[in-house]
Amino acid sequence: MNRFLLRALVVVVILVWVTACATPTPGVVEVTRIVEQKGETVVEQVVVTATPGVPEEKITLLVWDQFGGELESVATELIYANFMRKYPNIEIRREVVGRNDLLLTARTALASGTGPDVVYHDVSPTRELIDAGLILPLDEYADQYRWRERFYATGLSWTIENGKLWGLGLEAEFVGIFYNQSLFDKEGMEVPQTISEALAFCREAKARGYVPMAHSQSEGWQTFFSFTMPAHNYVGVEYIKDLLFGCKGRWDSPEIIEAMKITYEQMKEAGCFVEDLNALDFGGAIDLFNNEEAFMLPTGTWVVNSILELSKEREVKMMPWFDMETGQPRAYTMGMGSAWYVSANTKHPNEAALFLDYLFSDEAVKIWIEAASRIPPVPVDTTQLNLLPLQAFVLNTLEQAGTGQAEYALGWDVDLIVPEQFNTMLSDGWQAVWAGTKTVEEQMADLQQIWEEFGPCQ
Amino acid sequence: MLSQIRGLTKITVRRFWGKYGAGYLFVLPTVVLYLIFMVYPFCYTFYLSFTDWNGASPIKNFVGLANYARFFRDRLVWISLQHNLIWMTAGTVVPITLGLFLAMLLWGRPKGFLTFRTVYFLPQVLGAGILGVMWRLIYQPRRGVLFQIGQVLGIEAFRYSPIAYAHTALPAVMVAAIWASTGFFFVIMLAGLQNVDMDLMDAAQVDGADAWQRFRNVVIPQLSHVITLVTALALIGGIKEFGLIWAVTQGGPGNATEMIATHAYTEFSRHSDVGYASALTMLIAAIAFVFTMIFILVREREMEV
Repeated sequence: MNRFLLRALVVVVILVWVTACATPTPGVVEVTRIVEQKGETVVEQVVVTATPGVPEEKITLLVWDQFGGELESVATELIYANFMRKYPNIEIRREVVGRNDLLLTARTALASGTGPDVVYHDVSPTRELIDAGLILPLDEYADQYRWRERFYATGLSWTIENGKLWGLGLEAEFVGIFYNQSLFDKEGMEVPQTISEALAFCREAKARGYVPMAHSQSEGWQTFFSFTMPAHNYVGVEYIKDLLFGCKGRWDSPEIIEAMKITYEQMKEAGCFVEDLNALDFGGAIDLFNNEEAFMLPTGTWVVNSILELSKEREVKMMPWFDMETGQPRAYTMGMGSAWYVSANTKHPNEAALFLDYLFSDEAVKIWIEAASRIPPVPVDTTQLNLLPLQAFVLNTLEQAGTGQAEYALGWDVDLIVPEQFNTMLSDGWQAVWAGTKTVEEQMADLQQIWEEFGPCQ
Repeated sequence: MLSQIRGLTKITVRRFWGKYGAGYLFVLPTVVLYLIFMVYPFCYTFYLSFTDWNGASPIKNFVGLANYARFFRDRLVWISLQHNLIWMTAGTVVPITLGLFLAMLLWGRPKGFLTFRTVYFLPQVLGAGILGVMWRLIYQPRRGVLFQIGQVLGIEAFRYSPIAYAHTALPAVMVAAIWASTGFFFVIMLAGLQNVDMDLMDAAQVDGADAWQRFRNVVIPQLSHVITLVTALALIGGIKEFGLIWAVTQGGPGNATEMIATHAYTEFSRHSDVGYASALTMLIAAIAFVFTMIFILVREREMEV
């Protein structure tokens, strides 16, 4: 065989080898074409380089998420499908687990080694999983994917424990009061801004047969907000900050007790809430608001999808809790609902990190915001989004919070920071106060005692 | 001598297996399942009750009797015990009495016997979760069936949801529980009534005994074993009650319907205190055992007399 044919054969072999073995390698792929003139022969080499962690064999990632609602589930499926299209060698096996079930089963599943590779878990309860060594620290990947530059620091801070990054939060949120401006206009009433105005408004609204505020307490967790918001606005954000992080101050201080008396005695007497508050569940409260039987809905921004239909037909807005007339600024209380975590027992940590990174890509973030009303703590070009006014308001407020330009003061969703025993006392205790079997003073004393026993300031 | 003993033993063992082997083989699967799903979890829970495990950590520290000593400091344990006692008492007496009454009504197989029997038993087919959702809807403020009935009939008391108030929440859930469990006791009582000797009933009637006397002196004694059984079941059910309570009120409002089981569940699921939750479940088991044994011993002694 002459030399020309031999070299041609070499070229063909190389091309065939590259085609068979290296195409289409998922992930970040660099293709380099090397052209060499060797005498009369032009040899072209194709060199394919894949970034570390991109598998060449097909692998499956088991992902547990909580997106069971119709809209959010479709949005999630779309994001996962887009990821798999982009990375054909990584299959996402999705399992939707309800929040309560997930909190119960995640720990045993992760500890067993056969649980999910990636899990969407509430931020606060994840701390014990981290302490148990069940969650993979993500600092190495944070450097690789530049998460610290791409995320708002306030958003990342919720998943930083002991100086390490453990997860990526998806649901930046804040708590305030949604109100139906159209209903206020229809009834010729002003939206109350101070607590005095609110008490007067409640009396008038109740007399007209409405429920002034669709607050509920049946499940108990709603009490977190009827506690946190008035407390912040009465004593100020700095006082709460010192309590939570500085071990200064007391939950049973006269000021916080007074704030709670206003909520649980004066607002009760004024008829601001349904009488059977302890039997009204959150779904019932949403119904009251959506059916325009209630003017206001005190809750967090994660509920936007549930009131989206109403916001299309009516002007629905949001504001912080009322000015408590103590000279302190009104505050939204901020939090992070749930975050994506990687199991420490996963056999595919690199692929899991790649998946996490994709979940916060521009195309995924667009779907999260528009379809699932989830606001990731990353800068977003709002001009590219198709949003209803309420969604846009929530997004802009979070953007302002992330860039330190918020119109209102910003506090904390206390329930995400305090021990679970404190949250249980919030639920049970405020139900008891409403039922008349406990006083506000007793409840605050119990909260202080639990804080001293289980909190970080022991 | 030794060989003779061995020979005799072999024959005995062969005879034993020949006579009883098949029976043991038949019960073996059940025993295995019982050991795996009942005995092992019970023993493991007992072990965990002496630890401070949080359900996630690889380390379980032995803490001795600390979890049990905590009962005396935990006011919720005493509140829950009161509720359990009320539930055990009312939840035993009322549905058994109602069940017996309904069984007596249908004893003579009147017209519509099959229909009535089905209707009475139907709630028993529904699980606690479904029952809980159903009764939550009945008790729902402003929307529930009770509220609607109150609106239509002008009954002021029905305008208020009974599960919203501390003094009515427990009775409200008990109404649901009694409604759900009466059918079970009815079916058992009805089966027991089939074994009542009708000759004795006729003889008593001939002797001039009225209906109440025949019921008290003829029917009840012949139903004593059945009554013992259903009472024991009701007592055990009362001490371990969880599903319906959790579905309707989750132990609220303000712990007004808290039970030992719901308290244990909260400790496990919310506080991640698996050790203390395990100790609470051991408390449930101990109380159920003690109450049931006392009742059975008392009943057996009465029947001997």
